[in-house]
Amino acid sequence: MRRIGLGVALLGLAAMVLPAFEVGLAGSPNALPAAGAALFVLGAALFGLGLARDPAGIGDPRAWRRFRKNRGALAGAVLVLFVGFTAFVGPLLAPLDPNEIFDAGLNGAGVPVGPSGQFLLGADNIGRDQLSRLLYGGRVSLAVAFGAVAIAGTLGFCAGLFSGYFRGVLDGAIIQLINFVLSLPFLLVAIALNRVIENPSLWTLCVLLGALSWTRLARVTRAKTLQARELEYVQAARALGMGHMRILFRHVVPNVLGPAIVLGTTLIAAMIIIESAMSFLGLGVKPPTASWGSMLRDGQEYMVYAPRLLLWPALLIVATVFGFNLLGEGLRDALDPKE
Amino acid sequence: MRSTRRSEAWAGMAALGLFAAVAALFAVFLPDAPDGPRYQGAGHETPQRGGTFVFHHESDLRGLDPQVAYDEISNMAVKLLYEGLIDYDRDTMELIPRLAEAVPEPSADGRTYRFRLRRGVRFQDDPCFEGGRGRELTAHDVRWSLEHMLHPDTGSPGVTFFELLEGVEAFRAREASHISGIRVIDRYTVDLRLSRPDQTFLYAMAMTFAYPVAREAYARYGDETRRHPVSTGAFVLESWEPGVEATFLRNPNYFEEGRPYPDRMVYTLNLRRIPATMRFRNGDLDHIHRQTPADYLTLREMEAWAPYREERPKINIWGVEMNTQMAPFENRHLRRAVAFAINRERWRRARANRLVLQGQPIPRALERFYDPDLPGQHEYDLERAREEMRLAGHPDGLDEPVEVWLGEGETGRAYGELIQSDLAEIGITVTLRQVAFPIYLQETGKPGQAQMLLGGWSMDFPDPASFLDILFHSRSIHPEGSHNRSFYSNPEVDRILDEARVESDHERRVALYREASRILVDDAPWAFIWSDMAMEMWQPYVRNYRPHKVWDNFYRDVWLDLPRRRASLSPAGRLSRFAAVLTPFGGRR
Repeated sequence: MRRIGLGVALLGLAAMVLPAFEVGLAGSPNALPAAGAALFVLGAALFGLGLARDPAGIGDPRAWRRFRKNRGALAGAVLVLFVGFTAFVGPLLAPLDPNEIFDAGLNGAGVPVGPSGQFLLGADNIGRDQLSRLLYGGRVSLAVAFGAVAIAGTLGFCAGLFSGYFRGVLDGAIIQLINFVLSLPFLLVAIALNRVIENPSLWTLCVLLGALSWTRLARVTRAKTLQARELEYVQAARALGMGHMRILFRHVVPNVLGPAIVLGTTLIAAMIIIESAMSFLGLGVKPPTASWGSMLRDGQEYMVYAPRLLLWPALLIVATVFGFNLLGEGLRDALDPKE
Repeated sequence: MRSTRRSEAWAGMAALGLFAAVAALFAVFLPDAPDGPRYQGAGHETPQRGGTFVFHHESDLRGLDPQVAYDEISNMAVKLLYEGLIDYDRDTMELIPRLAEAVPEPSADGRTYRFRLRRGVRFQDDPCFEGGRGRELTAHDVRWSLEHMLHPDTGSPGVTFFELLEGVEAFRAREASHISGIRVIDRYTVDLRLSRPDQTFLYAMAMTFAYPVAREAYARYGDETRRHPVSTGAFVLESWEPGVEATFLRNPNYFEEGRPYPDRMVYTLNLRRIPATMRFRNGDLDHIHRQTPADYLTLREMEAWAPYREERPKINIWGVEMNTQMAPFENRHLRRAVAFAINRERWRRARANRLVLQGQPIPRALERFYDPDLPGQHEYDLERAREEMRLAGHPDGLDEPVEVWLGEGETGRAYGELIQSDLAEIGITVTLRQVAFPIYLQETGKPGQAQMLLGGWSMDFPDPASFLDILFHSRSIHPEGSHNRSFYSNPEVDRILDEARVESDHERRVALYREASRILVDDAPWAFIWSDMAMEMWQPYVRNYRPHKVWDNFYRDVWLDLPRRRASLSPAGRLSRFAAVLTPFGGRR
């Protein structure tokens, strides 16, 4: 039941993220995220129900207990849930079209108007609704972060796992590759590539960030795998003649998954920062799409007149990053009690 | 273990609190930004020699060769270094003599201009001359300079302005070793003869392309002359660190006794408008010429600055250019639809009301030519735009998105988003392509490259030819580096423009340009949108500066009222204490 719930929730999450990539059902742009939200709630409920029936089920019950007792981690989880909720369900709540320029958005002198009945958080530098842009922008920021981490996670985890388990030439090659990628100045390469590519989309950005950030995960996974493959029961399994894949996925993966999850969580925070930085430099999402980083950039001209233009996106970025970092810390403490 | 966690948490909280306290301390004790000039002049009434004048531009300086430089940034420096035969009066736009003794009148047939040079004008001292001392400027230099500029190997963008000089074609085809229309009469006299009368010829002679240069410099430095200017101008180059700054010193050989006034000019490069405004308000920069909308609004409200700023319309034209030789904009109705779909009032407000809206190619500021009642000029009319979409055969909009090329930065992005929003109303999806300015110039100047771009043109001389000939004559289409970026080619317009260029009757010229203007508005290779309103500000101790009517940022004649005194800031109690502590560090010069 838990597994089904988790699966359904993930599916819902995916459905909610997809519109950010301009994938959607023609005609009704909100149908997909709405269905996704419903699926997510359903999945979460199933997951919760499963948990209530069998609390010991999620891996190590002691880990779960440790996590619950860690207030910082809980605070992080709440922050992440809050930001995630506003970002994924937010577009459904957005009062106005985020890209529409309103004549009433600028006053006679051309300065963005403050919060009012029409614009709950005021208008931005060319007269668009700030609140709607914040709500839509979060989805873009988080979608890019999740997408990039999914790519980086898959790449890094597999690379680390195989190189640690099989050793030999493969290991050497992967280590060299890791060193090479690590030697690249991250932001510089991301910016350069993003400029070279014609018409970069959100996908390109995801792939780019993912392809550049898998290395730490690979190293940690490899180190853990090196340990795990020497464990007695792994040796025993090998002696019994089990196949490599079976050993890997039954005995090794459960041992190395914990640190990978922790790293992945903190990686999300890093990706959000990088996406913001790139959007701020004008190299992230394409206008007029909003992301928190590009909103910072749009707002800087009017910093003196309307500091709120910077305040809200900046606060959301800080909250998200803070939340993911706290969550990651908590997960680490919970999953890896050896301090 | 738990206790460790808890103490860590406390430490974290304490660090956060400390950080907040430090930030708050800074916020309280940092001095307020002054709401007026920081420094006042010493109070001299007669021009004073000495001091350093500091000015800036947002981008980089490309070169200092007047025969090749053709951008605002380089020209600001070229005009300090070099001097022309004739120039414009700062306030009236009238031509005035500089190295020439008088502004020549055309001969009776309108084809010959006789330039008499001032005697005793010397080039600056430079190792390229014999003995290192600058020699006298003669009529032979005028001839050599023009021939060098017009030579095909020089690749000067100024050639088009001198095409009517007799013998240019043969010279450029390498059939003649000299231009037959340039005749040296004696050491100080040169005749320029045209193949047809050209009403813009004297304007061309006032452009930097016609500035006399020293052949010894080109012989010695070759292509490197752009780094080694050898000139007759008010200043000489002291140093140039590319991308950072260029500095200039007073030229002791300058022909005007006692001038120029400042000892030194410092040209700060790549200084964006936000930091430039901050430096200016702090007294570290002596002149600013562009501001963000927010800075503009802030500065405009400061009464103490009022005597030291001036707002004026610039003589330029901006709009959305559409490539008339590329799908989908080879369709005239589609172009017209775009022209009528631009919500100009909204654009104006988004740029702090600094756009002077206009719907035709001749800027309002060229008062004698601008036609306020031009039939069909572009304005915001959504109904009409939809009607044109229908006539274009796209009643429901375009299926394919259109790409618009823009310069980098927030400004370009803001305009791009305005275009997106306006054209979405008539069913055209627009994607933005923001590139660095040199790439923008290079790529949009090639045919078949950019469907649509946001472009502008500043005048080279106060005449419609400076806009229409350059932007819409088919002669301005080249495989590379076209200025006719809409690749508009219309024999009728070509004919009218050629006729207007030689027409000596003023009223008839006006009528011809208005006719060309009407056709262009009708054909809409551009959606004509605005010309700029610029605000320039200078420090109180900068004297004899007023915006030049023709040139951008022309500093040759300024003098500095030094030593400058720190203005008493408005008493701000505890805040000014902090400022007072810093005062000794605030000085310059």
